[in-house]
Amino acid sequence: MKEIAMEHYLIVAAILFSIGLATTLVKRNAIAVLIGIELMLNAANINLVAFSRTDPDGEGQLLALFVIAIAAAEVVVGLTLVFLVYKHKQEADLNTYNELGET
Amino acid sequence: MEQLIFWFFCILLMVSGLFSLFSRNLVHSAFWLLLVLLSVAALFVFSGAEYIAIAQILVYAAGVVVLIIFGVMLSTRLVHEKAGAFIWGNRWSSYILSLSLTGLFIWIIMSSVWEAYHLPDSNEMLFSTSDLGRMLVTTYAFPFELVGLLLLVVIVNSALIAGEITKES
Repeated sequence: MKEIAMEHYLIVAAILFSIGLATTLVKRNAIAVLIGIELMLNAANINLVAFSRTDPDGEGQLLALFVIAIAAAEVVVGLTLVFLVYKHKQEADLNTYNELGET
Repeated sequence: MEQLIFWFFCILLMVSGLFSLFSRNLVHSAFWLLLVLLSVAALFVFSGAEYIAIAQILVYAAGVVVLIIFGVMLSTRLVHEKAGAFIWGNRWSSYILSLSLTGLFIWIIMSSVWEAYHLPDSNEMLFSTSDLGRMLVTTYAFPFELVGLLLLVVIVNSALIAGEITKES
């Protein structure tokens, strides 16, 4: 495991982050945007765990664990909101989500 | 050999990420996301974080992806081909932004020196899973409990809202 250099993890995480950013910006469905956010969180987690390899305190791994737990909570709340708005509008297109409250 | 397996998972991760980005069907996108998450778990194993890898598979691959797939399938109008369509107008500027961000990241990473982060020659890892467990119940017990409370609030909230949805319809 030690012949894998730090740069390789960082480059893979950078590419994954950019794919997630492109998904978030380009997709028009609300659930697809949630998928993009998950990709970006995972890229950050790769960096945290890779940097904790040389850290005897290992706080990076702990933070990665908390990120996983909070990302699960985030996707649950996000999907609930999407379904509420979907039930209201019969549409999951983010371009139509441009007003607040009852119409 | 380890290098080979590492690069196999890296290429699997990037290719399935790109497929998830470009597929027009939301269900396909979710299944490519599953492949990405499993390869990320493999990368965690390669950096010596077995517990995080297991948590990744349990929470993400088994929880989040199943949730997304169920969510998509329960509302049939989300699946049709328009669902994966793109925002009009600013699509190419988004691609250019992401590509230039990748270039910037890689340029910064390549021009930095990472000698300090190379592993020492001794064979054992600096940090083990039992250390992680001990930290969770001693120094970081309060954040740990707080995360548990957050998950409880989320469960109650979504059950409440889902109950309202089924009551109305």
